[in-house]
Amino acid sequence: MDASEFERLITPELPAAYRYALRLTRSREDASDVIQEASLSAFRARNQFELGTSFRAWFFKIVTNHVYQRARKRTVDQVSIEDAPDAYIYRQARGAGIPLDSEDPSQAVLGQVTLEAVDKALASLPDEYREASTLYFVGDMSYEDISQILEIPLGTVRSRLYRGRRLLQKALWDQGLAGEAIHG
Amino acid sequence: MDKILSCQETIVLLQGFVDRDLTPEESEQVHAHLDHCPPCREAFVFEGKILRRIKDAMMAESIPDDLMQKIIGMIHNS
Ligand SMILES: [Zn+2]
Repeated sequence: MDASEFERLITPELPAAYRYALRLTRSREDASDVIQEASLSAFRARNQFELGTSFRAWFFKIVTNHVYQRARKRTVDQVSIEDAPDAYIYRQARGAGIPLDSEDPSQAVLGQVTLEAVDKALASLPDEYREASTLYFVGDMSYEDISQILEIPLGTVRSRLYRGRRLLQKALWDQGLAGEAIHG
Repeated sequence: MDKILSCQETIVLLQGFVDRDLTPEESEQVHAHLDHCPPCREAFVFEGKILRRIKDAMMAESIPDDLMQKIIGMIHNS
């Protein structure tokens, strides 16, 4: 594979790969370094890529490795991984008497879901839920893509995504969505 | 005759329903339940919105153009 062919394969993957690295490292500088290092590693190893398989899965696997090589000490305490019920925010908002069915439905709650809030909530997730959820949200990834990237069976992808979303909703809610929605 | 789902069973299937990851039978059962249960329908609509909102937040920042160019340059010069 020559450089132009490699460029053609990697270019469409870079935007999602950057977002993935950015959400996992929470630093533009680190994400930029990770993407450059991963791209160069991938280029050097390009002859190990098997044509006909998913370039996306192959490249994101390399990106994931580089993220972890660089992983710094986690600064945020992880939540206990006690599970939360499905549709968590909906249940809590209903329980708190926040109207979700008005003309301007649920804006009081949804408006609080900012990137900062999501980042903070994501950071509180255990790694395996964080990486699966991030791939799902930043990359338009199929379950199959995520299964190949993380090298886990489809059923495990499904359970990590579902549980990851429940934990994410719980973390978002617990970090103050309710108070903001009611008093904000 | 299709099984009639309870609200509890429907909520558990909601994530798969949002992702179109249910079997055709399950999907049909959830549809049937949502058709006649306004609270679950509201939960479904809200779930879609909250996931969309999280996705939009995470998609907000793009890769800088100069980083794209730098990477492509690196590939051709290495
Ligand atoms: Zn119901």
